[in-house]
Amino acid sequence: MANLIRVSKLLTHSRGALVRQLNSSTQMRNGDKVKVRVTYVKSLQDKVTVEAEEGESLMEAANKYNVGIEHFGACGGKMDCATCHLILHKEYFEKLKLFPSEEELDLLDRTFDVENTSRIGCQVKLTKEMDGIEVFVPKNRNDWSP
Amino acid sequence: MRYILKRFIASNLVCSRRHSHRLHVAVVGSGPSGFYTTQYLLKNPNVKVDIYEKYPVPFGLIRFGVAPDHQDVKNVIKSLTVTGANERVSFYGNVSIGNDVSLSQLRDAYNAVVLCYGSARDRRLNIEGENLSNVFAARRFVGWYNGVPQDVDLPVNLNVENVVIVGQGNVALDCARILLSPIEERLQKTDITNHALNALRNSKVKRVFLVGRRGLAQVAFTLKEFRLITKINDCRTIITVEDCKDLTPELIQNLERPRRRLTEFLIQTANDTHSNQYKKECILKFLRSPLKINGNENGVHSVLFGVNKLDNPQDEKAKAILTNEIEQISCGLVLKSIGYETISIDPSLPMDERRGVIRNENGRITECGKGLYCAGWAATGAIGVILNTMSSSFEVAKIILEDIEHEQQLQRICRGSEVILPVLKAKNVEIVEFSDWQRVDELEKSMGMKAGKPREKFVKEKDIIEAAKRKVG
Repeated sequence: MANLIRVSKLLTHSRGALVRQLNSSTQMRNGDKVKVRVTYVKSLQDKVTVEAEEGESLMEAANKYNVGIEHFGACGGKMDCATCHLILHKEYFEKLKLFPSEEELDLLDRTFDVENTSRIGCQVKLTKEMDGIEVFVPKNRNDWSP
Repeated sequence: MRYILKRFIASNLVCSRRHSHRLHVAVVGSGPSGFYTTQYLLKNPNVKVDIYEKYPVPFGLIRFGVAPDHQDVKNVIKSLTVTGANERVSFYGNVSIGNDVSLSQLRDAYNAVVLCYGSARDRRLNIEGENLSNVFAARRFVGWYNGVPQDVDLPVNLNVENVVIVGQGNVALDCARILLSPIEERLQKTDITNHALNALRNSKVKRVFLVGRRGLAQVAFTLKEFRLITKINDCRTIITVEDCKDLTPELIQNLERPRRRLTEFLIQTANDTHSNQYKKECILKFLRSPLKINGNENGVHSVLFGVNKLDNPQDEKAKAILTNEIEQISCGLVLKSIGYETISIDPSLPMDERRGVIRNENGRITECGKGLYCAGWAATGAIGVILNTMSSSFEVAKIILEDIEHEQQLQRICRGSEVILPVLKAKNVEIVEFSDWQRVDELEKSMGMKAGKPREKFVKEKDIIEAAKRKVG
């Protein structure tokens, strides 16, 4: 049953994305911001794809488009709490050189489940090259959403 | 028609389940663990949570622990406020469980009780001279600059040049940073209390010694906090190159990333050459155990340390072994920052004295029967940052919800605050509720605005209660 709900959630999301995509293509003609698709992998059964705008951070986009990760970005994007820790897909991380700064590494080193491709979500600003990127919500947070 | 009938029955079934009786949970303590536990418990729509707090203000160490120059961390208050204002949450501040109401009274009135009251006591050194004047627990010094009601009158004398801080954790670094930072640049625009700001303005402190029992590879602080020390203007951070001698590049490469980066940075700091003259110094001393604090009726004048060696210098868990060598450091102020432990609020609680926590199994205090839990530092010990407390509190709350679901004993009909509030009333306890706090909050913010600070804290319990009860308009 729980899986069914997840699946239907997925469907709703992709439908929403489609609608947003149609809207975006009309908007883009008017010189609006470029859309970037991001997939947040909360667990294997629960992936949420959103269409964010270029310039938004991975933290902002997750909250703005209701990805549903609780207390995500508790400090308000000041790189002080690490609640928006995400693990980036290796391919994108390396190809686009999405390496964290020393200061960001300091914060990452205090978090659980830190991986080589970990980033603090509020510090990753979306660019059009990142379109289609997959980001993973650390394991210890899987269960946090309602 | 059949479809409608089906739906009718189905919705009624759902309704009857929804309207099964309320489950009352009491949370003791309103710091991060209290609030995060509460937040998770609300996932069960039948649960109502009452948070009891000893102080007349919520948020525990976010208000009283987080350093004033870390204002951004305090943004987490925003999401906690959403929880506090939830209709299924009540906040009862200025209520001391164990004094105003006993733990057993609370357990009788609630389906479950969660102790989230953190670690309220400093570990002691247990050496001679610990009670001399100008020797304080770091916790109380933090309380002094952060406005903890019991600590605001702490007789801190900053008319001294040298300070010894015993301990090398993040609290020790916080204290050092507050003592060494330029006022205008770093502290003036924060919510630091006025009395502390004034004392720091007239401070004569030039040198802070951060003294650890073990070596450079065992420090407890994190790189993020240490880097801040090295960035203080006009202040030089000193580490002796000799302290790095056991750490070969091969050894460092094998450490886990956080420890590796921290160790590399400490070695880099040791090798930094400073040509300029600095006004202040932060000096890290390793392998020193305090043996005695020397002083007279005018207060402390030095600390005697025994020199240690390590059984295995490269190991993070290395043990310190005292040698015959000694060293004395002159100082006029000593802060003891060697960790916190949990207090007991009821004789029935099983305490793990060594770890300084309430004995528990995944949060369940099984030795006290069913329905009693602990979360946060009271359960795990005083380690980690808010993020760690958040996830461990969620874990405990999850267990509580499972127990409530499965244990009949926890499903009995309880009346929660309906039982407790009359007890408090009879004792003339002035309860501060969440809406009262929000009034205090507004007042503090507007007082702060006048001084160019994010907030000017009330520091006396009586003033907070008065502000809370002040009628609007």
